[in-house]
Amino acid sequence: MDTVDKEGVVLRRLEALGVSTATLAGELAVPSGGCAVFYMSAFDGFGNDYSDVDTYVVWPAAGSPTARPERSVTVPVGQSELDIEYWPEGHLREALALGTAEGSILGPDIFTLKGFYELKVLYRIVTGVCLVGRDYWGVLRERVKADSFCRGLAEMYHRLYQDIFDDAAKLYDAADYESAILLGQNLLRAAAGVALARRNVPVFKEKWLYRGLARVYGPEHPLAARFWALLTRVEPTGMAAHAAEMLDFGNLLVNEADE
Amino acid sequence: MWHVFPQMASDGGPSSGQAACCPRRVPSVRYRRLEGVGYLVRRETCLELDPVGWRIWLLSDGRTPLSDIMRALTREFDAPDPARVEKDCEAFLGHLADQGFLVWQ
Repeated sequence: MDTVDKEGVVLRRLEALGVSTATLAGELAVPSGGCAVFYMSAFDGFGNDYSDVDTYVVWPAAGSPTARPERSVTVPVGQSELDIEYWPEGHLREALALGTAEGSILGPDIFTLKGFYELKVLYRIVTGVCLVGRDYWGVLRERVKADSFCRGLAEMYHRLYQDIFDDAAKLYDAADYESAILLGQNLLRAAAGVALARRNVPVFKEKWLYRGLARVYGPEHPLAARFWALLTRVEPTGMAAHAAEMLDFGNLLVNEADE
Repeated sequence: MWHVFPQMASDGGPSSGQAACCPRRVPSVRYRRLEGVGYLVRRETCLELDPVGWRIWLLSDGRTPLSDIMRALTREFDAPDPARVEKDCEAFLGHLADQGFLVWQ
């Protein structure tokens, strides 16, 4: 991730979208004292030339720690549109569990009380690139390492995995294999999220899970190949076996990083 | 240390002559290893496994014959007494089967 020229990636994409950085602050309505942070999937080795530029506008205002973003809007910028989220700084600091003890952000259990969405936003803001205004998060970038997010992300995916597994197992035991397979697809996505996060590859979007596995293990590796096969090929005559393999493979994926 | 549920050494495992049979994990068992301890969860029942038990569990994939599992254990854990490995392994697998965590095929 550190080898990616983040600023260059964003600037090239903005240019392709016909967005002028000279007028960006005004077009994004960045509040006084605020900043605009940009994130692209390419920062984490995913995405393509047509990837979205996720834009987060942050400003120094107090706010309820449990509040959702003030607003999430699509704004016409240049010849295109940008999806923008506006976050008061106070919300983010609270979400980061900074409080008055900033050292706590380095603890092993940070983020585990926050939701998946908040974690994704925090990750993007901390790992994103600031092109407009004061870079609030420069200090945090140096202190909050990607593996801190990965620990939290692995925990969240694992909780999701456990919930899905229990439901899918009941369906399997009741011989409702079709339903178990449908749940099994979500189960394997959550399990892949666990495995990747434990390998310090944070994947927040389902669409990148296979690419993540293929990148970490190689596309021919049994883990990546089996993940792909189980999610894309179901033999109508082998429902029971397919459901069974999904459940067992979910277990193997979750345990993989520990073996 | 070779140690697989020694209290079950007299319990029933697969019957004699089943070395060619393959134990298979029941799919609805959730399993996880944490800090060296293996955990199996099925419905309201949870079992803890030591490293040898965990290895047996992972080898119980429905494709690996019991004889191969025993050979692997003897080799990987440097067990001094293959007969003891066989006895303990069969007892362990028999216990898992009794609890509904494993089937033979």
